Amino acid sequence: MTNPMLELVGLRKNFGGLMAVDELDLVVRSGEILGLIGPNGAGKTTVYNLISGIYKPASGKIIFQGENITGLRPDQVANRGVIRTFQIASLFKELSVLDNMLVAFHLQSRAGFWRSMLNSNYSRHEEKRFRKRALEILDFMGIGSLKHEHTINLPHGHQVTLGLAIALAANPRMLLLDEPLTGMNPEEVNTMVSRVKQINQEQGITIIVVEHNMRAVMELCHRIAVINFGKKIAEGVPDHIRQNHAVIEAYLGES
Amino acid sequence: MNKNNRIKSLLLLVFTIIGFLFPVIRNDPYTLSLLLIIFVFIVAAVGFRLIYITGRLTIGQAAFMGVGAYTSALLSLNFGINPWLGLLIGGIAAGILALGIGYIVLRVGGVYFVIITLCLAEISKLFWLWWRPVTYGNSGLIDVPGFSIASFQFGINKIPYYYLSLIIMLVALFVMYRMERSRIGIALHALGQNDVLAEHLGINRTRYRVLAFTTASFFCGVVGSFYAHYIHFVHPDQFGVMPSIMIQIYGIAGGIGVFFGPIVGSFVVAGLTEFLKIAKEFQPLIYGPLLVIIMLFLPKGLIGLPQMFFKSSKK
Ligand SMILES: Nc1ncnc2c1ncn2[C@@H]1O[C@H](COP(=O)(O)OP(=O)(O)O)[C@@H](O)[C@H]1O
Ligand SMILES: [Mg+2]
Repeated sequence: MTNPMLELVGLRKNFGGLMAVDELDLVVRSGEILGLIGPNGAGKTTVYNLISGIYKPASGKIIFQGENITGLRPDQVANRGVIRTFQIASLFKELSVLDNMLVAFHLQSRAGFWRSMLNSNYSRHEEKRFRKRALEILDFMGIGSLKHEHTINLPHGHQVTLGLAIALAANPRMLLLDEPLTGMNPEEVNTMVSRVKQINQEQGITIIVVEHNMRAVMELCHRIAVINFGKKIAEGVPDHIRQNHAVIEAYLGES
Repeated sequence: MNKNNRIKSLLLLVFTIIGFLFPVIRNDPYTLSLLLIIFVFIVAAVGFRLIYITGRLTIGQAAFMGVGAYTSALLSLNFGINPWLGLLIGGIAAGILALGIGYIVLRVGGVYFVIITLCLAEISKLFWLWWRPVTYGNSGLIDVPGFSIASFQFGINKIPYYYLSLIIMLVALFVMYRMERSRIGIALHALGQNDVLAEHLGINRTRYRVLAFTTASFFCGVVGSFYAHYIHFVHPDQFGVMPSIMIQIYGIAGGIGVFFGPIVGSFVVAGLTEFLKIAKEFQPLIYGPLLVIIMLFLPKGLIGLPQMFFKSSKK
């Protein structure tokens, strides 16, 4: 529980003169759910973009399970088991729900080029296995009945759910969730929160959650880190964060 | 779904059999020569689509036909390399070139990529014109040897060329079909629809795009080489922007959304071209509006026609 899964060391990223992430140090422990909160524009998504390799940091290091992954491409980061979701549900819009899932099994495929091209027994079995697993995950997420739907037809809540299902299908060691509760009604929020908990407990996946719904964050997370203007202003267990003055100020200052 | 597939397989089988029996049913040199050119363009148009599904629209594929044609023609003229081997070498030359170029240019998307490939088509043509000591520039290469099997020369007989073209097409289609149907194809489609997400699921976007580009261009090289040994003449004008645009028209008009779209498009549009031959230089005047009409009213291309008809009659 205490050894670090991911370490951000002195991470910086600027857009021109704007410091989006500023000297950020953060440790994510193996097996925990860490909440990453802060007002709009605080730099949360940018932190994800740095970890997942969309941006290269101006300075600083990103260490995942002891390996320096700073500056790797997104597919290389994914290959190491760090899988993220996107703030605005990001899907393959013209593929069916099931095909969306199958894309995510890419990393687990061992069939290689020729076996895939020749439709060998191995690759056929592998695909069958992936399909089965994809359906299991969809069922777990409660959208199994939608497997043949085109994603473009799904309501928002289901799109977000599918986004998470895809991430799960990629067999992550660590999940980065970006505002997974946005636009959900209270009932959907509850279901999502308990699913994320289940993913963490049953599959042992370490999770970072960026989220504005404070009640959900408090309930879900083991620890919370608060950032504002790209800097970390507080870190600790939910009860500690609730009473932190800097945090209250940051949020009050925003509205 | 399963039933649909069975119907598709059956249709495919029927068309393949018709393809093989056609010269027996109708041994007419004019029709055979038309068909075998259509087969050539089908390979290029299906390749165009293979690249398209990864989210890259190219209008430079004829350049790779040119590479195949010149490579193979020059090798046979200057070094006596057998045209059969030339088919393969022409394909490999085009493939290697595509691999190198692809690694650089496939990183850019959208309209930039379109323009780059357009330039590529034009540059390749200028290159053949410029490299006179070898290519004879605007005079082109004449007397490019034809194919033979042992002592049997294909000569001016269309039938063996027809069969060779048919077989090359079937092989190319088979390979590209398998690629799309496999795990690789899922990755290619994923890139075309959302490359950021695809990349975050571990798909190396440059590598997969290069794979599609190289495969399509390899087959363009092969059919280019075939073409050279079939008409015994290679000239820069055969591979400029215009044929590249034709390849694109075949693909889009037929229906870029499905594998068989470009095949239908090649038959219909190339057939129509033949029909319009009387119009000669006014052909583009007919093509242009035709393409516009198809894109406006048939978003799924010609291959979407029966489906539209079926749907509206069911209502
Ligand atoms: N690609 C970009 N170009 C310029 N500025 C950006 C870019 N991405 C984010 N920013 C800026 O960086 C800051 C942090 O943004 P972001 O990480 O999206 O915040 P959060 O996710 O916490 O709401 C904001 O001021 C935002 O405007
Ligand atoms: Mg954000």
